[in-house]
Amino acid sequence: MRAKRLFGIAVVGVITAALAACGTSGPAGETSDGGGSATAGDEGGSLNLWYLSDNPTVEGAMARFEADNPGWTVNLTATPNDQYKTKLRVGLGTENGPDVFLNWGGSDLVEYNKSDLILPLDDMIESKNLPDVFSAGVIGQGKVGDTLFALATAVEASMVWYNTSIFDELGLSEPTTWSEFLDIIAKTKDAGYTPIAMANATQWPGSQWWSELVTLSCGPDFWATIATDTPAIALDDPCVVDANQKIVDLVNAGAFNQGFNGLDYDKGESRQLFWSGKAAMNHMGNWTLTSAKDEAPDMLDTMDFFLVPAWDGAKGTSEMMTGGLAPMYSVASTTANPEMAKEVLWYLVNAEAANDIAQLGRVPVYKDTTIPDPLVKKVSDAIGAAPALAPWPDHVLAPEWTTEMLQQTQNLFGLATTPEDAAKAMQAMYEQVSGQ
Amino acid sequence: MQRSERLKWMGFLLPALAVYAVFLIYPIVQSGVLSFSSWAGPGRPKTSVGFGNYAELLQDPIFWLSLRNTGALLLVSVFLQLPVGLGLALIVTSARRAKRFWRAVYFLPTLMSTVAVAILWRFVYSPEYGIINGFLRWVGLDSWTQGWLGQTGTALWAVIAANLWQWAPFYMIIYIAAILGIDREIYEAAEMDGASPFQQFRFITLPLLVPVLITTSILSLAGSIKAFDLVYIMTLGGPSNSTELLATYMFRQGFRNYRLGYASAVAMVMFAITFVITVIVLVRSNRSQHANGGRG
Repeated sequence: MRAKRLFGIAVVGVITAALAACGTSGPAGETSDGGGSATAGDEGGSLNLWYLSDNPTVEGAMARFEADNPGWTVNLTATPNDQYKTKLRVGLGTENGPDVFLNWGGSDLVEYNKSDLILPLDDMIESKNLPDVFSAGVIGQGKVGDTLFALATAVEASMVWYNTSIFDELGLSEPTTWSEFLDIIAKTKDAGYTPIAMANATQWPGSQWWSELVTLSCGPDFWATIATDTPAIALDDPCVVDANQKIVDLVNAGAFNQGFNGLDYDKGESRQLFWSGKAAMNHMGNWTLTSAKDEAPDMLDTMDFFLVPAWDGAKGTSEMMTGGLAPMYSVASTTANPEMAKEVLWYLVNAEAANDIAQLGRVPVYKDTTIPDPLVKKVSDAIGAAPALAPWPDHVLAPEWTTEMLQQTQNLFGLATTPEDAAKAMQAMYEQVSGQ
Repeated sequence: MQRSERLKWMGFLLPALAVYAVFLIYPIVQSGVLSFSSWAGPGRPKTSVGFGNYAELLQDPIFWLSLRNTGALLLVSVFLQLPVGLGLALIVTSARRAKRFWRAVYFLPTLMSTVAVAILWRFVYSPEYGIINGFLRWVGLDSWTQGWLGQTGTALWAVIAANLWQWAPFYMIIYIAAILGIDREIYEAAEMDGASPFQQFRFITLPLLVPVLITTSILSLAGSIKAFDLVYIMTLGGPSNSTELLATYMFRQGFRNYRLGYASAVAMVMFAITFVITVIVLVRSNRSQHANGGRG
């Protein structure tokens, strides 16, 4: 009996000790890690970089950083799009968070700055001669007030990609007016194709349509002033209702594939239709070229793009586009090595990085980067010629408004609301958020 | 002796209790506290709003929609999923050959990870490449094809069907174990008395399964109120909130809108519902067991 009891106590003791060990080993390990890089100084250390997994050039850029800075390593954490936003939200500002991280600028930067989560990069303007290599507009996009917080690598914009062989087969040419566009939709549909591939479960593909149609409908002032205290055009203005109506018109014309509100862009469910030749068009960002290289290289020979055309009575012109600088990179205020973190950031945006990005089929913002691919050059020229670049609407205003806007556009695409009600709901949320 | 025995029990219970307290009770209390505040996440200021979150919740149409959807899932789980599980159990236990084989086949869905199940069903429902629309086209019913997950009218039922497919076998296994635990002699005696197979089921199997039915009801109720992963992967709660459940709405508010206080209020509602239902079921079942005990 006695022996049994002793055994019992011993077991309890072991379990408790094991639990206690669990409890302490975690934090202890972290502090020694952080301390290691902090005290290492010139000898080296490690930095954490968080970025989106669709940026294959990052690894090369970081290899160059490590080669030029012996003793320093960069821990790369690549995450897919929608998970990344959640991960960053939880991790940024904590000890386990990133030192350098990818973001989308805009309202995010304002919010990070308000919460002291990012470091100013003003000293880089001089030390890296930023005005020589980036336009004032590009640098301005990384600023909150007069302080620089982020640097951009590339510019993105959305357009209507089309399958040239389908267009040739049906004798179609790029539309210059909205009615020509509707005509193309009708003709491709009659020929048995899905006119436009769409996957809107994650809601942002629909929001790109919306942003673009609102720009065409209301003109550049809409997006230019929406984040200010005195927006020029309210969200329930008749021109917004017109834009909403255009979405409904597209859906009613049968422009999209069946069940698109349940399909996921990130899983390739709309690209698949476009690559396989079932869909004639695909309204998406210029990263479609990068996707084509990976997923359907043959497609590169039979695709081209046009911009969504304006209609009679629209205040905008067909040359306007929706897009923005992305990705951008910032340094977290929690970093133990601010100088090295800035150096990491520089390697992500410098001339070599820009060159890699251009090879990938994207449009770098680093001045005078050679763009080898003619189609990428065409994208670059279109963006350069656009009189206004409306922002991606999910990075302009507070997250709650974004959620409402995404929801309402999905409702419009699903014919679950009317153009008027969607406009009213967005304006109501805008007032609620700005009133807070 | 008595006292030291008790100490020993407590010693053994302590580690489990510590884990339970740290990872379950403390977070519940913490989200209770959080539900009375407005907080946007680590590093952001926290302000107290009293009952503000709860007041807003009562007027939030999407909250009510998600409550209704969760209710639909709950009803289907209890009144369809459990019977299907029981039916499968009866079929498998009465199979004349290859019982183990059929048991394994039917149990497979539950063994698969939810992510795999969700992706599998996304393929099944795919409008262009899915097996359902493919079949409908093959038999010439093109007009019956649907964008199953992309329409507000069909998405919720499509998701609930996938949930049923995944979890009915889990209950089947529990019922099989319970049915096999029933003494064969009772059936033999009943057979001699001339009871038909249905009467055997109605008057022997079913009454003896009551305790297990109660346990599985609680599991099923709690499971449907907490349901998240399958729906989130299949539809993200969309389109147009048509598959929004309490848990997905909580996630949306917490990690899309960064309203962690409001999300905590949703979490507390979920906790309250689960807690109340569980207590009711447990109390009732205790009472009926006592009654049975008295009779037995």
